Parts: sequence; structure tokens; C-alpha cells
Amino acid sequence: MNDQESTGEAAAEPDIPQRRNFFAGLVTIILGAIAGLVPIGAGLAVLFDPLRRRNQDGRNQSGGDFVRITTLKMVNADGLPQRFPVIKDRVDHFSRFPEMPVGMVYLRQTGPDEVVAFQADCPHLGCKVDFLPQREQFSCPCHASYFELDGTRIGASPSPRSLDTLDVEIRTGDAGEAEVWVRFEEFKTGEATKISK
Amino acid sequence: MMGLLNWLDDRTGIRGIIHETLYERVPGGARWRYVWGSTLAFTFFVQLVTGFFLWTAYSPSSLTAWESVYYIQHEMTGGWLLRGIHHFTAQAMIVLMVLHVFQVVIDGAYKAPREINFWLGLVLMLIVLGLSLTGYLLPWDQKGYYGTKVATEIAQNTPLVGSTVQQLLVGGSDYGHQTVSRFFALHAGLLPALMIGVLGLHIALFRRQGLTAKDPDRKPDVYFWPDQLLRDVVACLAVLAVILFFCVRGAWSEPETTGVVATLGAELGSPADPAVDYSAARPEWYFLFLFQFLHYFGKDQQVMASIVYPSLVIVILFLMPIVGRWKLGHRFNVVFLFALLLGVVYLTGRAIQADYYPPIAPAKPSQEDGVAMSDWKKEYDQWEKEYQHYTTFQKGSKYEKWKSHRAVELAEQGIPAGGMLELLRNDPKTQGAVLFKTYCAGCHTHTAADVDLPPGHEFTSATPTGANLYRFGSYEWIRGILDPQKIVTSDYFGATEAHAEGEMVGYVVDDMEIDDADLVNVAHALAADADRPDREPVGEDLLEAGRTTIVEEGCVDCHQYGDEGDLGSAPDLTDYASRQWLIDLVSNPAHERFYEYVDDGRRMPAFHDSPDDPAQNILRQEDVELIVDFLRGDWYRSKHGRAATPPPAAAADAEAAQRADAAAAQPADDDVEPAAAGKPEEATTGEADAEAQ
Repeated sequence: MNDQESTGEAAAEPDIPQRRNFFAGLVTIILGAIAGLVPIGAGLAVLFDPLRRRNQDGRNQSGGDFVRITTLKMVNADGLPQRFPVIKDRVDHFSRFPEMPVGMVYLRQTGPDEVVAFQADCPHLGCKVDFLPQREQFSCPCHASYFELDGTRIGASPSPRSLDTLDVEIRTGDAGEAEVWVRFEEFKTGEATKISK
Repeated sequence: MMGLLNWLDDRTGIRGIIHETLYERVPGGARWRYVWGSTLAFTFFVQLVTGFFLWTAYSPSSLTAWESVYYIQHEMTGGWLLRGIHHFTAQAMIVLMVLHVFQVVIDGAYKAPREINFWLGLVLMLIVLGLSLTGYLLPWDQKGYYGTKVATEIAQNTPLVGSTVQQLLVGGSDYGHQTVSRFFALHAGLLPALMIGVLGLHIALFRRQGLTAKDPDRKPDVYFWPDQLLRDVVACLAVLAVILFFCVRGAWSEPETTGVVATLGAELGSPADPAVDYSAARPEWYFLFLFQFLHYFGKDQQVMASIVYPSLVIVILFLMPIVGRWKLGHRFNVVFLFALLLGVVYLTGRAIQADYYPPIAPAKPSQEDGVAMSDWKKEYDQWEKEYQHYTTFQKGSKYEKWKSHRAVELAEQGIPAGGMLELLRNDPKTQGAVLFKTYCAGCHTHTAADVDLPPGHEFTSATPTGANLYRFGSYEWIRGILDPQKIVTSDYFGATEAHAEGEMVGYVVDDMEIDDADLVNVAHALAADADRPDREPVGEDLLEAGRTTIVEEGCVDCHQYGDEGDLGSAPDLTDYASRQWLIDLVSNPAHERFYEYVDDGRRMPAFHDSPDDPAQNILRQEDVELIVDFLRGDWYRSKHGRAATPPPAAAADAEAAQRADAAAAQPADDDVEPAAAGKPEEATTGEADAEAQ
């Protein structure tokens, strides 16, 4: 045993015939791969869980239902856009938050019973756009995209498309008052056309 | 390809490294006994991998830790498997580590020149124990919370630095957000980093010094690759198979036998609640011996038992290479290690026995033998203590299992911002039962002799002075009070001071002239107003007939019922036993709608009669509502009686299917409810008594 103990580096030198045992090597590699892949596989399943969930779990997806934003009276009659929060139930994985702000829309009255709604997220990279009353333009504070009052993209803006419009319905509330309902949706950024997230 | 390899080799010497790694010399040929070190390295690899992926889904804070682990375990694809592997690999590591240490000591592999490597190994062992301890807390469930609390309280007992260390560990004087984040930083940051470093040194030194061959001349030497590595890999696979077995074992456990719903992977208890005791708090099984060890020491010796003695053992382990220089010293080391193992096994066994097996009561000696009598008295006292310990643990763990299952059921609805604890504290089935036990069960029973109760709804009052409230307001309950034989029993008015010989009893027993068919209708009509969630609907014509009977056959002579009759001489039958009626009754039974006519001393106390002055009330409004909802069986019922953790895909499908016919989703899952919910004190004790005698 003593000579082994003192061998150190020398042991690495192959003074014994190298066994060309192809089969043993192959089996070792296969079994080793199995042993390693089991924990990695279980981990990847969890890691990719969000991809699988996306289409199946409609709970948190936008698109679906109309949300009451405000009463028609609250929207400026002068046609200038105004920001409103969108209040609805939100599910964040294990947490459920009833009635909380989940986004922002601009409402703009265009006729006695006509309101246009814009998603406040910039179609470029999703920053919230501002409205500049003195220029009567929307502007994105991040990369300087500009949009007209009607949402049309202005010339050299990096945004690939105009502001995203949302479906609007004017409904009569319980108290008989006209209410603005919007189908709140989020869209993919960076695309030339509106694609639901 | 070859060119690339040459390029790489020129710059890194990769060929040499690979060659050195694979062509390690194995003196005396490849053997199974050399595999343990490799299996340990493999389990560490598994922990790093699974730990990283768990990290991607874990949220360390006291409001999200349990919640995110719940999500991993019950919602995410493969989450239960990932968590199960991580949990059981941790335990496998402990077992393999013990084997490894034993082999090294028995073979004398700690002797020169391998002393330093032995010490590195011991450092690794301490790191692994640290990982176990910190990991146990992270799910933030009752068992992790209380188990770890004990450990940090022990740290506090360390002379001089104790309380500083504890505060630093816990992140303040109380457990909270920072306790979770600090333990997580240790568990996923510092300790694994140390482990990688020390393990690297350990393996490098091992390679430098070579294998300690048991029998170098047994066979010709071979290389590590492929002969020894094949054996190592097979051993690692075997270890993995055992781990996987433990992960899926829950699939075979039947709810009837275990009292719990089968779970796959690792257990997740109910969320940590500093306000609720957990009488079954235990450390992980491999720390049980330390837990048990503390039992044998008085209050003055706790520091010795929890810190000094364990530290001494570690010191002796570290001294082994030095002691082992002498032949006798080596023998001492081996004997010491076996003695230690024996002690640990004994203590662990005792701890398990005390928790899981009822002690046998000593037989009473015959009267005349005075000496034997006093011995028996002593033995009996000891038995009583042990018995107490056993029942406390059993009750605590049954309740905890029930509650953890309930928590998972409730979490299906989505967890509020206040965390799972908020949901659990507002659940009538859980919290209502607790409140009922505290405030109502002194007088009221909540069980019926002729009904097979779902466990957890039984409270037997030793000296009932009120009615049995099990399914109060149901058709059966109301039909019973209108039965001359039943109304006089303690299930109804028999045990009450105010009503046992009151007018209602007199009327039902002697004067009632309503025939049975009409009584059935009356009971249905009243039960319809009570509107318990578990009511079976009956035809409107029966209800109408019942209402007519109430008005025409004399009930309204004493009771008010809608527009008929007057208040003052009997409780209001309008919406009798409905939620609001019950809330009003419990809040203030002295109201004229209820028992104003009964003397103060003989009436149920008012639990919430000063809405404007909260300090005057026995219970808060919310608590009254919880009790009422508990009595009415009005609580969340699982959408899918989650018998076992289904594979998440199946769960999602099931959920979709359930949504489709949500109306039909009123499962009678209460009947297969797990254990023991609430407080089966009496029941459990009774059974156990029988066993013990």
C-alpha cells in the first residue's frame, strides 16, 4: 500500500496495458447520461412551465372581456386624450389580486357618443407614452417615438406602428349613466402589425 | 475537428487534463467498494442542478415562500418531481456521507499523508449539515418554521456570542422576511460556493494521493476509465433510483390508512404560523438524535447537551488522523465511530418510538405488596409522561396533515396578497372549528350518535349544557327537535337548564298534534329558509305545505314566522338558522328575537353585542361569522377532490373540465376528508387508551 501512497503524479503514467473495452465505455457513457439527465430533465420541465402555461391558462391573459374604465362624463369633451387606469382582477402565479390596476389606457372623445381608446404602452418597446398637450402629440419618453392625436405614428419614430387602439363600447350603467368599457389587451412590441400577446 | 482540438490543447493542455482524469490508476482493480465518494459527488451535482431550477421559481419572503413552493409543488409541470428529487437527495447525501466517513476511518485512509484531506472531508460534512438546516426552513411551513426555530434558539444559547449570532441569522429578533432571505442566501449562495471550493480541493488531494487500496495485489491495476467509472455510474444510478422511489412512493399510500392525501415528491406542510402551536415540531430525521439527546439533560445542562457535547464529538473527529498514528489510536477511532453510530441509532430509535408507538402502561401490582406499589407509582408516572408525549405528537401531526391538505385545497382559488395564512385564518372549516372549540364546545357538542361524521367536525362536550349543533339547521336536525323522543335528549334540549322542561319540550312531548307527514314538511320548509349549502332541494309544494302548517297548526302561537305571530315568547322562526339569523343569535341571544325571556344566568352569553365598542365584545364580528359559517358547513369546497397530486397537466385538464360543469361540482369530498381535522382529542385519546390497556 505504501508505494501507492507515495506515487503521486507517477501513477498517471500508463505503465499498465490500456484496456480497450469499448463496450464498458459505451455503457458507462449511456448510464452516466441517464443519471445526469433525470435531474436536469425535471428542472427543465419546471423552467419551461411558463411556455406551456401561456395558451392554456387564460386567467391572466388580456383580450377577453370588456372592462369598465369610467363614465362618459369623465372623458374630456374637447377631444384631448386622457389617461385612465384599467382596474381588473389580476393573477400573478400563485397570488390573486382582486380589482387592482393592471394597465393604462388613453381615452379620447371623438363624438357625442364616441370614444377612442389607446393602449398606453408604446408599440416600440412597451414604455408608457406621455401626452404633450402643448404639441397635441403623444410621445414616448424612452426612445422618442411620436404619435398624432389619432395615434398615427409620426415620421422618424422608432415605433414600428401607430398606437394600438382598443375596442370601446358605450354602455348604460345601473344608474342610467353612460359608461366607457374597453376590451383591454396587450400587444407584442416591435411588430409592424398589432398581434395579441 | 482534430484541428480544433489541437488548437484548444495548445492553449489549455486539455488532452492532458482529460487523460489524467480518466487514467487514474486503480490499484488492485476496479471494485464496488470504491464507489461511495463518487456517489457523493453525484448527489452534490444533483443538488446543484435541482437547486438552481427550484431557485427559478422560489420567492424568498415570509408572504411568498410557502406560496411559491405550493406553486412549484402543485401547479408547475414536473415541480413535484424536481422538489422531490432535491428533498430526498439531501437525505441520501447524509446517508452516503456517513458510509463514506466509516469507510475512510475503518480503512485508515485518514493516515499520513491524507490527514488534510480527511479534515477537508469533515468540513464538507459540516457544510452539508448546514445546507440541510437552512434548506429545511425555506418552504416556510409549520415543520420547517418550528424545527428551525429550535435550532436558532439553540444557537442563542452559545456563550458570549449566542444572541448576536442568532439575531444575525434570523435577521432581527423575530422570524420574518429576512429570516427567509438570509437562510436562502446561505443555502443557495454561501454554502454551495464553499462546498464547491472545498470539494474541489478534496478531489484534487484525493487524486494527488491516490486511492487507498484495500487489497492492492488482489488483481492487476486498472485505470479509472472505464472499469471503475462504470461501477461508479451504476452506483449513482442506483442511488438515483432510490431517490426516485421515495419521490413516487406517495402514489401508493391510501388515504384510508395514512389519514392523509397521498402526495408525490416532498411533503409541504401548512404555512408557518407563529400564532399557532405545532406540537409535532421535529427536526429532519437525521437530526432527531440531537433532539432526543436534549431530553436527558436538565435546565442547567442544556448548553452542554446542545452545544458542548456535539462540538466535542466534532473535535474528536478532527483529531482522528493524529490519534490514529498509533495502532491503539486507530482502534480507538474505529470503536469511537461505531459507538457514536450506535448512540445515534439508539437515540433516533427512541425518538421515533416515543412519537409513533404508544407506551405500555405498567401492570398494577396486588394491593398488599407495599414496595412494589411505590415502584409501580413511579413507573406509572413515567408512563403517563411518555403517553402524554405520544398523544401530543400524534394529535399535532394529524392536525397538521389535515391543515396542510386544507391549505392546498384553499390555494386553488388563488392566494390573496396577505398570503396563504390569511386565507387559512379566514376559512370557516379551519378557523371556525378552532373558534368553536374555544368558545362553544364548553357547552355545545358537535356530534351526533347516529351520524357517521366526517372527522374533524366532532367536539364532544364532557358536560353539555347546550344542544348538539352538528348540522344545525339541516332538515334532519329540525326534524329531530320536533320528535318527542329526541327533543328530550342531550342532543337537543335535554341538557339545557332553560329549556329541558320548557314550553317547547312540553309542547312537542305532550301537546303536539301534527301528523308525521306535516312535520316532515315543516322541517323541510324551515331547512329551506336556513339554506345550508349541503341542503338537498325538495319540491316547492312540500315547502308551501310546511309553511302553511307552521302558520295554521299553532307554531305561531309562540314563535314569530314572517308576518304571523309575535316576538317575545320564543325565538323568531323567520329565516330560522339562516346565516344572518345565526350571526344575530350568536352576537346577542338576549335580543327579543331570541331568548330575551330566558333569565340571564341560564342564557348563552352574548358574543358580540356592542358593535360600537369593540373592546366589550368577546368575539370580533369576523369571528362570529367564521363560527356561523363553520356550523352551516359553508366553506370552500375543492373543485377537484385532489386525492393525490395529479400530474399538473392532468390537473389543468381536470380544472377545465370542472369549470365546464361547475354546477355539479359540489363533491361530497367531506366524507373522504383526511384525518382528524380539527381536534379529535377525545376520539384519539380514546382509541389510544384502548390500545394502551
